[in-house]
Amino acid sequence: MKKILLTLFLTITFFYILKAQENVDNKDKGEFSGNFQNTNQFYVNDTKIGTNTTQYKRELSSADAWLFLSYKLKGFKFNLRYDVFNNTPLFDPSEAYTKSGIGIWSVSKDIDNLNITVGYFYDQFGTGMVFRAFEDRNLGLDFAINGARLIYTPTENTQIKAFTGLQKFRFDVRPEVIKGINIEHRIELNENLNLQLGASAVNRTIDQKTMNTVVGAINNYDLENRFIPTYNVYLGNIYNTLSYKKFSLYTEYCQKSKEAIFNPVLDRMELKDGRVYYTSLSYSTKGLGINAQYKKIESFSLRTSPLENLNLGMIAYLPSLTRQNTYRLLARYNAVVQELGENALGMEFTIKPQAKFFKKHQTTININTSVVTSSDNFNAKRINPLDFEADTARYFREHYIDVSHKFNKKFKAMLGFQYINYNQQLFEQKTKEYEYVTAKTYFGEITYKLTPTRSLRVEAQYLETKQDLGSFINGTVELNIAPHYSFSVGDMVNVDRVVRNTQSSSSDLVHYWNVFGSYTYKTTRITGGYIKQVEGVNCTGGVCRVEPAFSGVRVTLQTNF
Amino acid sequence: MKKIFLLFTITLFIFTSCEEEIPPGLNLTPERSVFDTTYITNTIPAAQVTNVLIEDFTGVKCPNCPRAQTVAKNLVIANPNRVVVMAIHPGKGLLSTLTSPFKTPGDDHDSKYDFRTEEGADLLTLLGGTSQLPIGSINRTLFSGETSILINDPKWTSKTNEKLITNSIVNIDTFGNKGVYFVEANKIRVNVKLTYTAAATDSQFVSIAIIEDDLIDYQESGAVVIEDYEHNHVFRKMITPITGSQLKASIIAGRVFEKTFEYELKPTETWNKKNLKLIVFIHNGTNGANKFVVQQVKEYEIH
Repeated sequence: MKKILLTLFLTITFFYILKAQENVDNKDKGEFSGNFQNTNQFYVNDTKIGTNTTQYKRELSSADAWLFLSYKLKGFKFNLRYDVFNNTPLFDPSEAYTKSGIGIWSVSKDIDNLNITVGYFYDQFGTGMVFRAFEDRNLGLDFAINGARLIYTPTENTQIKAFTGLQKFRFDVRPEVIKGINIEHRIELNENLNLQLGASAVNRTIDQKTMNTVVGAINNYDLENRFIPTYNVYLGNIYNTLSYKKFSLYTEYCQKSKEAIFNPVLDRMELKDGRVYYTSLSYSTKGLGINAQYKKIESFSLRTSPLENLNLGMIAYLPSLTRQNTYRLLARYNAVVQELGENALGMEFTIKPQAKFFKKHQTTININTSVVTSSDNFNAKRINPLDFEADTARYFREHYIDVSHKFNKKFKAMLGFQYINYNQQLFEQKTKEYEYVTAKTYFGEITYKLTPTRSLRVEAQYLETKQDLGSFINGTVELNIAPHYSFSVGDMVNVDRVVRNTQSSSSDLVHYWNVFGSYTYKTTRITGGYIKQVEGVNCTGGVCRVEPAFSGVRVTLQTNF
Repeated sequence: MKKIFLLFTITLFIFTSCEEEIPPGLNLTPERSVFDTTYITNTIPAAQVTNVLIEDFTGVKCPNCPRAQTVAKNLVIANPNRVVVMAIHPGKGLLSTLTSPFKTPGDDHDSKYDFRTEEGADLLTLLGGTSQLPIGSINRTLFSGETSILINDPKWTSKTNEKLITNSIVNIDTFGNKGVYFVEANKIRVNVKLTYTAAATDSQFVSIAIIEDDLIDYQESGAVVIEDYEHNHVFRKMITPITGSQLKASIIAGRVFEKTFEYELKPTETWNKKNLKLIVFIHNGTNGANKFVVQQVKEYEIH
């Protein structure tokens, strides 16, 4: 089937290219674009940091590549992506997956105010909490929908989307049918006040084979835990952004009908409906930006079927309210969104003092605080940012501050502090011997411009904890030679190590060092490095996965054309 | 804009306005086993040869169904006590035209019985569903080269013979003075002993069905309707859930299950008790590459 589709795609493309060439003097030849991304990893076993996946024992190397091609002509758009996976741990770190082929293809056409797409497409309704088809290559996620989609834009303030299709799974699709409709409309009441309204409805239907498996599982439960599963689940949401002068208020409510969802705590499915309440208030003025967000989730898990778990088969995307940190040690502990229930509150302040001295030196202060608890455990004491007691009823809490200051044209610096409470048993499904983590991280960065094209950047972090693997110190020195080169060396050291496995109770310091270089030419970037990476949770926007330790060489290439 | 919101509301209504059926095979009633034990024996008996269960999905208004029943009958005759037939009259949706009794207006005949059962329809859905009859499964196996467990009757003989030459991983026997009998006037008791002679990786289930022989009624056959057609092996009722009753223990060689099931005939189940039989079969669960596969089957008369 895929070969037929590829042939069809290439034939149509060829036909249009020929047509375009025939009329080369006075006709639109179309626009061709694309990109290519490649990652190669060579594995070097290091028992000290706990490398133990199959690639270290058998395959010894892996490669992933994506070639994306797009051709636009006369309102048509043809997309094709070829994916290559050779012994990759991307989808499941415990396996070596090998397969190549057409990852996605699509044809779309604009007809006046209507856009029609068939094939694979990515999209989302609102914030994505009732439907989001997205790709995240770092996490090995590809939730493209294979089907048909219509986007109708009757006026510049109104848009209606509708689709039906099946979710992509590797080089196949899952059997459950998903369909949805979304409408967004903007109302400008006056020059200071406007509304952006939206509403969506989504339906997922389980196929009979999957239902047979669900029924088989339910029949094995104790009689009091059995229930009638539903083939269909329905979701709806309404949302609005109200903008008034410097304020912006976003509110969203999502509701989901009853369906079987898997509860890992009970180790069985339950029949539950669900809902999400989400609001965000932001205020921005000269020298001050404030953003406060609150979200409550009640049993809002939507996957292609209740048999899928973790990052598999996700249809609804629940974003995280906690800060997305980039420094290595600051990003060590992340709050995975709890679909079965959580209360989350986040506040962020960006302050740029307006006094002449601070304006001259571009001084900026960032403050962030967030707390996540279970959905029924959200009291005033627990959310009080000044209550530093390590309350294990909190799933997650973070206090963060950084101050950056540009001393002169050549030298700028940043200092900061992060305080974390982290329920490792919950987020990483660890055993009871893993205690509730309390971590303090002190961090800083300086950048010194050596010449107009050369700069030196030094960053350092010290993470202090008595739990998990213990305390770490991390440092990186980076030399940038504009516009082509960048080199760095760094080391992360487990300075105060917590040892659980007696077989590896060596008192030696554990180093996670890395050497890295990159070369950039126009839109092409090549990187190479020897990397030792600690086991931990890798997250993007609240979607996370536990990744094993990595030791070895990583070479990447990325280009756009 | 109002029209657009009206369209949106109608779409939402269409989304949610229909009611669903309960999924086939769902069991919300307590298990009918009144005795249940398991142990491991050191003296593992010789493996029984694999018997074959033919689930023949059929209908009284299906002109080609007698042909399939003849195929099944010939296999039973050729392999005494090795081939068990369950004639299932499903009857839902499109299939109703092939399975409903001769009682509807316009029929020239008036059937005495209605062989259709809800459980039969659910069994058909569970095994993959079809819009054509006759069709059947041979030990619920997805054979090489086939896309469905349900296959046409011309293939039944070769597939049955393929199965008959293998040994089963589980022996089916009965225990007690009487294995299968009426413990009360209308109450059937089944004492079944299952001995695994080899390990199984798939989850294992026992299913027990009641069938009835010697039912004389109308049957369409080719271009004619036979008035006194002898309907045999007619599926009446599952004593267990249609997905089976799970054998909850590690399945290793020497594992023995002894289970007693009871079923009391309802006042509406006015079947001829002398012609009733029980089919006991062991099969895989609803998951995995070998889902549903029947490991062993036996048919018992009720004393």
